[in-house]
Amino acid sequence: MLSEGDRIQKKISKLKNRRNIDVFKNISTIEALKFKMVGEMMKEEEFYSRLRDEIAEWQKDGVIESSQAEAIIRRYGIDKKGYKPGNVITALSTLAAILVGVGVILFFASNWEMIPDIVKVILLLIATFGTYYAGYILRFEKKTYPMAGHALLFLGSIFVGATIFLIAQIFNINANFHWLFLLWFIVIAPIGYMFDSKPTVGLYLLIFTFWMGIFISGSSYQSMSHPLLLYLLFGIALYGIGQIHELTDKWSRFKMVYKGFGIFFILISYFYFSIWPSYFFYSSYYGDVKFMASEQLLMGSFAILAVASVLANLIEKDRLKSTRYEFYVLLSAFIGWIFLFVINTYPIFQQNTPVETFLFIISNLLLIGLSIGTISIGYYKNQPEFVNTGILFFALGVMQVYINHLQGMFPKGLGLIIGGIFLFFIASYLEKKRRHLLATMKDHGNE
Amino acid sequence: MNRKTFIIAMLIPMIAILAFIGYNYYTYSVGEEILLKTVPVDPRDLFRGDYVNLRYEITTIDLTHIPYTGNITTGDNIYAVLSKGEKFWSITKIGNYKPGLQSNEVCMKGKIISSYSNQLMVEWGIESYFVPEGKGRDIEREIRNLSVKVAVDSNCRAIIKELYIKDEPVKFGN
Repeated sequence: MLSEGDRIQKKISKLKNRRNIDVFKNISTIEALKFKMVGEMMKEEEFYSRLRDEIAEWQKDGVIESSQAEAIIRRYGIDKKGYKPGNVITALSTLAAILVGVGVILFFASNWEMIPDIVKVILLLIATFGTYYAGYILRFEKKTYPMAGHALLFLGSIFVGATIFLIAQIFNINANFHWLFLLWFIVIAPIGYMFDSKPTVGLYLLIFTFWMGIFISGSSYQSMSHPLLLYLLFGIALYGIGQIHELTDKWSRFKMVYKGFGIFFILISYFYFSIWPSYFFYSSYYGDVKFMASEQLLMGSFAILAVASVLANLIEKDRLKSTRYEFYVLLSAFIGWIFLFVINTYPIFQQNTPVETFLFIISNLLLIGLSIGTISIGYYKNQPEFVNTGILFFALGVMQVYINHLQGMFPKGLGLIIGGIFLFFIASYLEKKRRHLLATMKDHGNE
Repeated sequence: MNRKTFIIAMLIPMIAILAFIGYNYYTYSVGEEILLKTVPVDPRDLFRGDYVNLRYEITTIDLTHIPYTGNITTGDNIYAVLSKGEKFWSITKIGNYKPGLQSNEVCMKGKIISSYSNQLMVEWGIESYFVPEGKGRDIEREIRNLSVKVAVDSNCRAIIKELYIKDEPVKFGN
């Protein structure tokens, strides 16, 4: 596919090759033509940009459904208009920023004893704020290298973390001190929005996730179900926050970051619970999972967000087909969470074969159902990432059912052979289905 | 984004980082210095290089010997009153609330990480001492001769000031 620059050059060459070439003898005429064409392209870009904004508005006002919006987007190819090279540059610049950031963290982490502490702090402060400033100049003020500026702003957010950890190292603050991550998160969260930086928003979500992990691991718990009950609710809440972003003009570009993290936490938690739905599957400890007051506060906040999200989707579900699937996924995930929370927190079930079978069926149905729901969201919202994620967890669910439950029904060697053949066909079928879905979505895009 | 918004955005990390430095420097500079006996190990933390993982005599509290007030359970914060022995400081009592102190006492705030029978394991926030890469093993070899100078402020917050091997401060050329 030709870039806009190539298209201009091609048109100029065509004109030059015509018989009336003498018209173009004067170079300024060619420049004028270039200018005119660039002007037209600008108008075209403005049109697409305006149309994109209008589609968002129409959707918000209920004039068109999400699927209709996607049809219009595909018809005009708005999602493909000149953004691909930019995406590659952004990805490469972000990768470069990550490499530099990690390098700086590791460099200072090796405790560079030749430099006094105060000099280290000053160096990192200069690096952090210098990087932010350079990013700001390139992206917002001079606008000469917006992609590089974007990456530098992201790098600045990594340097904030490096500075916090270096200061902690100087004062010998405990290595597993969760507040360091929380501080990093609190600092860069508003910056991500102020600089309109998607990678920074992704970074702060990662940091928050990591902080929760350390925070929970610092308290007493009996199993993995303890943190995963929290992460599951966190996933539902994140998905809801992503949908809220979708409704705003200013921040709708962050929606996929939240939704992506959200759906991943939901599915990974259910994958775990499909293997160990209740504490007595892995522990002889007969008791309940206890949550500290601070964890209860976190869980309460996520639960409120999750309920609000489910209710908002309930209101919207009749209007938009894609939202309907989001509603089904969020509602099932939340009902499943209530069930899992109850059986893990209160020992209402005694351990015996019928109970184990019942829990196994329920939890696996939830995983499979949610995986299919995720695929449906991806299909109706034209988001291949969701289709891939849904199929991945569907395959993982099928594999765990076979490995943990079905294999033992056959003699040892035969079980493995049958299982291998079974999994091979399942994998082939899923891959075929995945390709078919993605191809269908692509075809619609080219129509 | 204009320059004004950029400056506002930069104020957030600037204030947070300076406050973080100030908060720690306050304890480091004005806190009362006490000496604690330790037992170290040597793990590695990806983010912050090598450090010695310290375990103190005050990490384990035997409730049959130490008087306590309030309901003490795992996950709770506790306050300990420490007084000076012949050389090292040790716990004289513990409780759920910040205690009143005599002139020769300090208090430390910690978190109960586990409890079994009458034994408590407490984390005081001074369990990591950072060393240049590869130097952790050298310190580990001196495990029996190790002590730590800690600064404790009036809010019962503690920060490591110096590590000692055979009463000599450990230096790494910084």
